[in-house]
Amino acid sequence: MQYILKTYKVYLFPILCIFHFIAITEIKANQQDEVSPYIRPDDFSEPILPQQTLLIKTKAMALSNSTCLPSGFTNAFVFPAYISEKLIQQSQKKLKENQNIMGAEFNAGIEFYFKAPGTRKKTDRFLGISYHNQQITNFSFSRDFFNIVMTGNASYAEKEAKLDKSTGFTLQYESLKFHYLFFTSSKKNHLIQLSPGLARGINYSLFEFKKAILFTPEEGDYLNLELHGRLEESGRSMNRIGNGAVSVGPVIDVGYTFLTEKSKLQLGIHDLGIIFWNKNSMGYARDTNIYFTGINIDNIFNLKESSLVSGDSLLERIKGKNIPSGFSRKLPALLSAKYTYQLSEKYKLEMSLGYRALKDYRPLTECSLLSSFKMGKRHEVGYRVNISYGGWGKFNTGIELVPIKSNHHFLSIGTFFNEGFINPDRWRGNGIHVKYCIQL
Amino acid sequence: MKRTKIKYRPVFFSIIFGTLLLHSCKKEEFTSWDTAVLAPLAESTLGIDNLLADSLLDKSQTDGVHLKFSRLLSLIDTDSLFKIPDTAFVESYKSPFFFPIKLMAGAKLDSIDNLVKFDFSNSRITELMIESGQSVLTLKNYITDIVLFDFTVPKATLNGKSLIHKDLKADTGTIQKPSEINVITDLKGYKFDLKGDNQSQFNRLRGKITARLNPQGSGAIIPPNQNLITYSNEFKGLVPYYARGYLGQPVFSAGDSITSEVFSRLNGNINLKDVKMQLSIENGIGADFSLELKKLVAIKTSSGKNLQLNHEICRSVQTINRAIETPGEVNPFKPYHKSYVLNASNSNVTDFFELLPDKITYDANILVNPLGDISSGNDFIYKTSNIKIKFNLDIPLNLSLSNLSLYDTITTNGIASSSSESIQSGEIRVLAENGFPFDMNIQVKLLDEQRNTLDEFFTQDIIEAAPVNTNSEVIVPKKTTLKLPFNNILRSKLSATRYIVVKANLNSQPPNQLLPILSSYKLKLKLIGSGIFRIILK
Repeated sequence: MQYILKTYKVYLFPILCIFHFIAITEIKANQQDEVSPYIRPDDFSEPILPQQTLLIKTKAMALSNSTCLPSGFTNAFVFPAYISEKLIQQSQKKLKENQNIMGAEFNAGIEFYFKAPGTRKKTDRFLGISYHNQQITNFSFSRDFFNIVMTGNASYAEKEAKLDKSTGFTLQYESLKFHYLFFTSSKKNHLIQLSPGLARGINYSLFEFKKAILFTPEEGDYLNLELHGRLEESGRSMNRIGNGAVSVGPVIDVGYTFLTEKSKLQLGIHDLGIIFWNKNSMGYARDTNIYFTGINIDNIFNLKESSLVSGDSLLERIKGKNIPSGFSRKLPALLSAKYTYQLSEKYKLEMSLGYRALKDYRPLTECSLLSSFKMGKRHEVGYRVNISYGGWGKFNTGIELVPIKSNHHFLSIGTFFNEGFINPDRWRGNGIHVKYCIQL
Repeated sequence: MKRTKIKYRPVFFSIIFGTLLLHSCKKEEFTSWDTAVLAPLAESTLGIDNLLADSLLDKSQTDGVHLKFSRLLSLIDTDSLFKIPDTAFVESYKSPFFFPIKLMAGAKLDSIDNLVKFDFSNSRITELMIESGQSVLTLKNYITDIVLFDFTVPKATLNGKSLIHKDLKADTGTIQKPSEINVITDLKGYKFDLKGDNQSQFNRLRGKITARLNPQGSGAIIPPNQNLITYSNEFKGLVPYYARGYLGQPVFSAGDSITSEVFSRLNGNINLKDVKMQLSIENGIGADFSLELKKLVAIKTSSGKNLQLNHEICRSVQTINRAIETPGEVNPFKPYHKSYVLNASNSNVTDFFELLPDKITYDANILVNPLGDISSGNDFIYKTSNIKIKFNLDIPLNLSLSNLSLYDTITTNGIASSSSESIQSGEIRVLAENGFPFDMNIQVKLLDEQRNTLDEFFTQDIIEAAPVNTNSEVIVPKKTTLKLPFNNILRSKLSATRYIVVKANLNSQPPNQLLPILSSYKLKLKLIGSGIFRIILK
């Protein structure tokens, strides 16, 4: 989770630099060709095609949500901080016995779109290139798992802690994609997008406990862990083992947009792909019973240069002895469907459904109301309010402000989920997104 | 309106950058939280074999573990028992005439026939077999013609052939500058018959040298009263493999100390039962000897106490018979053994070892052939012959302990771990499962590099003895928990520790009752950490 913040810092800065550079440059508007009769320059939404020569989009988003954990808890992982006992106790209140879900996502990138050469007049084909860095974290855990990790095993003395059905998954990768967009009819109301590219794996780790029971006796003289599960690791953390060979794989986005005078339907699959993790990756499948009694000191009278305390020993027993080998893992593709309807000149209604291909992720349904107001001849401002359900959380609300919207600039700053900002110690879900687009 | 936007836009974004830069200067913090952990840290099992070397223990006995200690001592250095001194003879030949005379080619010059006597002190040796050594023959020629020599030792034979060198050629020489030749013969494997010419003598070996002018030469004029040729032969560095004869009556003193590692770490009072020590004396020489064991003393250095062994072997001179030859066998002789079993009924051997001696000293006199030449000159000695004494100690660990203490010092580079820094508070519990019928007070002292005491633990804590049944045997171990608060001060002390002094004080329970120690008795120690542990995600 801390990596999210680090990456956030790394990428947000150059993105804002670009933003700053562009923003302080006065760009004169040129007479525009009409891209599509259904894509109006004053459309409130983020532009999807270049109106003139080039469309540059920069985006950054970070969110975390949970079915049970308050935002203050997840924030401590995103913005590293000490998690107080009070916050842990607060988090414990909403825990179910099983299937408690927590997830986080970070994405930052830059995209360039331009009209395809030779099609300047027709403007029915477009090319683009983009770079994104993405990190996804997903946890599903039992109440006992949370308690053991966050409060320790002392309270489980002479009791079994059921860590079954707990999974954890973190993935970070970057992608470079080439975009090809084209209208399929002369009416320019069917837009297809194909974006093949390459994804490079940066970090990957997974644990999956199908069955795991930890027993701590009252005296604490041993720990018994019945474990049936698997662990996988790859990426930067594996560099110490080998030569840090590259982990890459193909990735593609496919999109379809149907435009009418008053509505827009967008369907898409994003990051459908696979990464072949390098040969230094480690996979551990364990079906074992570990009876841990501490480090065995063979002869106490030969205790030379020894440590009495070692945290690695139990972990090593869990991991066992494995030989590094490469493996391939699918990317958690995002499936999305969004329908936007123009209610009036100032208001739009948007319904969307999103699903990320993760075992614990539930379809995220979202309903938004968008409104915009003219500010002078060429500028307008707007906002959006939305309510959502699903994903890694439950009911949430969000808000988005568009302080700059013109023929050339589009800036939006918004939240995915407001609740965690309002009452982080009790409510779940928070996240922000920033977008800036410029038409050149 | 447009101007206004241009004016304020850079200001707006500069504020954003400034905020970001300030944020990046913030001290790095990690996600962390506290957990209450109860977990085993380390374990160790101590058995009797951790206190005493496994090689000293006999666990096959039905009445419990026996401590067995064996030591073999050579009382006499073989070289000192029988030596062959370097022996040489030197002769020269002068012209018997008072005037110069010309000798013809091939003229005989001299002939030496010398009976060499080896000085074996009061031994009368008739036969020798040589392990190593040399015969060094040096010949000098002062004559102005080549001289030919023949050298023969008829009774020095190798595989039945005598030692012979024929036609040794010495080049022409002068009075001022004689020619010289050296002939070195390796005598390894040679057999010397030292019985002389009539086979009734001893220590005697005949050697012959003859010299003549070169028959193919032109002859030479020899001056009067001048050395014409000189001879010397030396038997040098002879080491016998075997000697036969009468070995005489040499007297040897034997004295040494045996260091006993077994008991060196133990102090206090111990009662033992059925201690048995076997003293076995081995005579590997073909001659009788008498042994006077003047003293055999147990010494406890730490207390300054000592005790003389009281047994027949220490009170009277013991005569040990000779070894016998076994021709044709792998070992050419069979040593004679004489054994003495020392136990509580015939000696004070129990008291001797209850002293827990770290040193045993002895002092003995050995006289070879105390009755003279009773073998009629048929004593023998091989290179491997020796007089040895073997101690075989058998102590059944059926004992009673009273304040028996055991010290040990463990060296360490400091007891530390990166994990230990995350411990906010807590305690280390020592869960002891005692399978021995002894109350144990195990004190631990931490010392720094200069051996200053940093801390002491468990000075008053007792690990309780396991109860025994009517057979004085432990059936169920006894559990005791010791607690040691863990804090930052202790952590720094552990880190600075370079020596850990462990002092174990043992008292058998019930007291004053002899209790057998079984090999199954174990002291299991488990180190358990209980406390608040801060997890830090770095």
